[in-house]
Amino acid sequence: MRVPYSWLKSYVDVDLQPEELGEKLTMAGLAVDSIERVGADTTNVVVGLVKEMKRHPEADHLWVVHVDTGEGKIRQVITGAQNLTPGVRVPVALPGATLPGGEKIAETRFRGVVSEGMLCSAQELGLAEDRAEEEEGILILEGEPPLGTDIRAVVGLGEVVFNLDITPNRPDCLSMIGVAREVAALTGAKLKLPPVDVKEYGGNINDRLKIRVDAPDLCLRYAARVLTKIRVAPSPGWLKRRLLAAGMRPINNIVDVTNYVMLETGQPLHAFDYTRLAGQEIIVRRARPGENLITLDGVERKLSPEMLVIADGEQATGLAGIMGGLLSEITNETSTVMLESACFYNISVRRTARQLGIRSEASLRFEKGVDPNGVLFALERACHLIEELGAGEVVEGIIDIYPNPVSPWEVKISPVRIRNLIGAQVSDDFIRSSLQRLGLEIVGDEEHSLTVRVPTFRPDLRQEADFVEEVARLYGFTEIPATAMEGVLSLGHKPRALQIEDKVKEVLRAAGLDETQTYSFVHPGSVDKLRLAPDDPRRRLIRLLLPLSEDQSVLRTTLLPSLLEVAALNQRRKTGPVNIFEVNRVYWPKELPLKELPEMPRHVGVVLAGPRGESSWQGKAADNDFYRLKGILEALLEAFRVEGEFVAATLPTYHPGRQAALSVAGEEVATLGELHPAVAEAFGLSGRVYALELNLERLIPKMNLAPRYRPWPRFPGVERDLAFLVPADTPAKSVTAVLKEAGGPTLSELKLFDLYSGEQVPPGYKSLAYSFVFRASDHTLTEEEIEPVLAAIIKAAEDQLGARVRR
Amino acid sequence: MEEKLHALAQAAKEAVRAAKSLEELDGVRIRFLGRKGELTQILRSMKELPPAERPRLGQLANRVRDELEAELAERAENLKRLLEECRLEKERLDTTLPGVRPTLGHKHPLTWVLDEIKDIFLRLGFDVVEEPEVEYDYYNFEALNIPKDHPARDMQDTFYITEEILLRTHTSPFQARTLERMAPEVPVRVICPGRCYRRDPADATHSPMFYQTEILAVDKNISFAHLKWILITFVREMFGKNREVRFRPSFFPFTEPSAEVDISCVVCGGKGCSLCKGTGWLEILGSGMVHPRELEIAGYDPRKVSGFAAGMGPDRIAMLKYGIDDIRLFYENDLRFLRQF
Repeated sequence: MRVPYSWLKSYVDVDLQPEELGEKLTMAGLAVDSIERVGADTTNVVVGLVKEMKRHPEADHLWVVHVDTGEGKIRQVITGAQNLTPGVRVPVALPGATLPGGEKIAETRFRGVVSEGMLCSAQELGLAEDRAEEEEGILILEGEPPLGTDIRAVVGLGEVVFNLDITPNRPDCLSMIGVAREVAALTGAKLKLPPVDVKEYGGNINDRLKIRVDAPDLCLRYAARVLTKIRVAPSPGWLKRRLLAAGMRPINNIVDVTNYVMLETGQPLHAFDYTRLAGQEIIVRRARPGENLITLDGVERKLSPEMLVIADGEQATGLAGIMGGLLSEITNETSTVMLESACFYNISVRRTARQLGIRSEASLRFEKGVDPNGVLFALERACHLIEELGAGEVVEGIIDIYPNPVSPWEVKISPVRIRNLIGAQVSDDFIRSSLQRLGLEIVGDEEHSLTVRVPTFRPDLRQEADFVEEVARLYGFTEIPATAMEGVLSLGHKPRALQIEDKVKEVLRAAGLDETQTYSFVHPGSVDKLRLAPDDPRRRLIRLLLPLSEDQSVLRTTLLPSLLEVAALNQRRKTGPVNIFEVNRVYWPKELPLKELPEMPRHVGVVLAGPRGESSWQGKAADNDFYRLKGILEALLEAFRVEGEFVAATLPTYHPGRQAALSVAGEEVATLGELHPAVAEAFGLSGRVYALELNLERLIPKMNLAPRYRPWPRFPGVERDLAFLVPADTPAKSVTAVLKEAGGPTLSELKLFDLYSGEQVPPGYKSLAYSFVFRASDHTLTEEEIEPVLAAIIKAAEDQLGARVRR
Repeated sequence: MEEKLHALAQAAKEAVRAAKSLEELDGVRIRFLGRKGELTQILRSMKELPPAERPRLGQLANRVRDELEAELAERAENLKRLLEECRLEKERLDTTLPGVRPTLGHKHPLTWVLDEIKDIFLRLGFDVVEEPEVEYDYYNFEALNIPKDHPARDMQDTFYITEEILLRTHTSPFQARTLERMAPEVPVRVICPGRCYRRDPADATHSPMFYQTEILAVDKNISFAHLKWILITFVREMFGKNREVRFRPSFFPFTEPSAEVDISCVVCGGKGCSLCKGTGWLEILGSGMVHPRELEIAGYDPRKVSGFAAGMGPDRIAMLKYGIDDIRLFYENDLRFLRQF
């Protein structure tokens, strides 16, 4: 809401500095986004008279204009505008002038002809927001302002405009008077309402116009006047300037008055060309099926029966509360006008405006709610202004259909409770005077309660809490002390799942992985890119009804696509090694379409590509491989004291020979592997890429956060190393199992320290080298005790694995 | 004999001094003190001396031996030190070469901020809870005093999944859920961090997904003054002790009175700059006293208890704290960005 200060001052005596008033408004809840000074930085632009003009000898579209700027000499200025005629007065920027935004004007040459300055359009002076205004050319000044006068004084430059951010609960402040009322309450000044007296020129409106409201549920009130002897003309300068300063474009005096009164009172008005109303009647009704209407902006709208229209005897001629129809538009030929002031149901206006994609100043106000009891005031105010402009005569009588009048309501409030909720020593007297300053009437004043009558322009004041706010903001939020809370001491508690999530992230960071945060929604094709099987439950995607784009149209069922996209982005941008993770939720529907909330388990995703870390001058970091990926998962299990088992997996996402699943207590909690090259390619990734996804939610119950100390053995162990040649396809896991079994209780540690195949290893074999530690809990083992165990181990390996010991 | 001893002592001293390495020094020791060493032999020949001279010359010989041993030890010590110094000198490194760093993972800036928020409120005695991101329309709007067609729904363009199920547009549904769960128990002191969604196309200041953290306290006699204390305490812990805080009236459907909380600008400190659009203030929190209607819906008696609620955007806080000018950076995950935190 743009509020020009000078306009505001018409209704309330206030002479605070703009910044000071702005601060007061902001601190009272009418947030001032900015304070503008329209064109205030303009200098050296003066009024000039066009004396003579001729075509530029070198360029057809340019004019060489001779202007008199009252300096006793004629200036020659070049312009490309086509709207000048000799005798008009225009703004001339002299050499050395500054335009809004800081543009400097100097003497220049256009194709060899000197231009001693520049003629200005409204837009160049900062008067109009849109370009359309500029296309119309140079601003032609009205009347006969003296030549050489500073343009700021002539067109109202330097006007202070408050840009207010009005909250939805204060529709009354979408008007100059509403804001003035607030200013009056804040400063103690008195509110002055503008004159609304109307001279009636005889006749009887009822002979000229019939109005019927067929949809009283959508139209609370409908009032109209008829005006004759209309003289459509441009509005006077003061009116134009105010509209421009408030952000509206002047059109003609009749339309401008309706807009002016809307800005002034908050009540949207509409003027119809009376002679275009078939049957001289108005029917407020729902649109008929298939009915169409061409609105003022020239667009043909398809209407539907839940939309409210203003119709004449034959057809719809306006969209109630949103936009008029082209047919009944005010034109230069209009001689008689019907002026509408009505109150339409806010929800219907909002729905219709949304459906048709129209947002007008009128619809905006109806959507927020218009005071049905302000309808006549605005209507009379508009008629008063039209008469004042000499633009028409008012026919006697008003038609006013208002079947269910809304009355002010009363609210009982307790000053004690108000004081307690605010937490400050606000006196009863202060409460009383605050209410009065806001224009509220105290109709009951008892010992522990006040009864307040609320005028209908304050629909936000319904119960005591609403009055707490009114009192508090007039008291000043800043004045309320900050008081520490009292009561029992309480211990803040973080749930176990969150504690674990934090710890998981810590472990992964310690492993050298960077944390990412990616969108919860993805492209539905991402599950195809992962090559998920047709019956994979992760293909059951929850779709948004109205996504912003297909890329963000479904909720993810797996973290991998997002992480792979991040990896690809970083590869493309060459940002260095990609070792990343994310801990966030995925969304698994219980059924589709959703009838209840989906399952939203917390997942951990890891993606590794390229080297494990930065290279240094000492050498390149080793490349990632499957075992580093697995090692990260193992480290995570160890950190939470979980025993897991890696089992074979056959997911199409991964390399068929390089993948595994992790199972804990018989439940699968994670899958991991090297990406299948087709998946890597689909995501635009190069090189080998490793990924794992863990369902943390499933693992949480199995995790153990409390370490328990176990003393280490008191007697030293005896170490032995043995390397076995085993057939190349023997899984390491079965070798370990056999060795452990054979080693019995004295084998306390077993660790693979080398894997080798190549020279000295026969083809089809591999060499696995293990270090064994043998130990007894009560003495140091002797050679004689260890020998038989070693022998047993070797025998078991030979018998069960077909292994040979390498010596 | 005596002369011989003196001469020997002299020769040994010189030999010790002349030794240039531990090996040479060991040679000296063997030459004089070894089993066939010169001094050893003199000592052995003592018994052949007349008994009258034995004590004196014996003493002398022992002294010569002790001195020699001490000198050998001292020389050995010196040589060791010299040799070590020599070695250390040769091992000199170019310490201006860069270090070889361990690869440390980085915490996402939003996680830093979320962790800090949680930590501050945990210290203030608030519980942390999590609530569903996919939410019922009822909790997201209805239970928060935002019926269908309420103008406040204008402010939030919502991602619906079905007519009744949506992506939460704020963490506020947690208020309704918490109160419903707790009523009529007091005190209630909880915060709820999490992801929220609005149909805003991504640009420098908007993101269709973002984080919020919501705070809720309900008890007997909770006032606006308490709300002020908690939020001022929080802001100063988060942004520094000298941060100015101001509360100004605003509107939220589920609080009454409602207040926006501004902090003095993190760039200009309040003088006015482009970040704060010249106002000197930055909006950082929305807050207010829990609407009595909401308490009632949940089963509390608003005449007996009251409460306050506040909501903040960790994305915005992170942007202000770290000087980030584009919210999309958080979700783009360029590693050059992530590795700065």
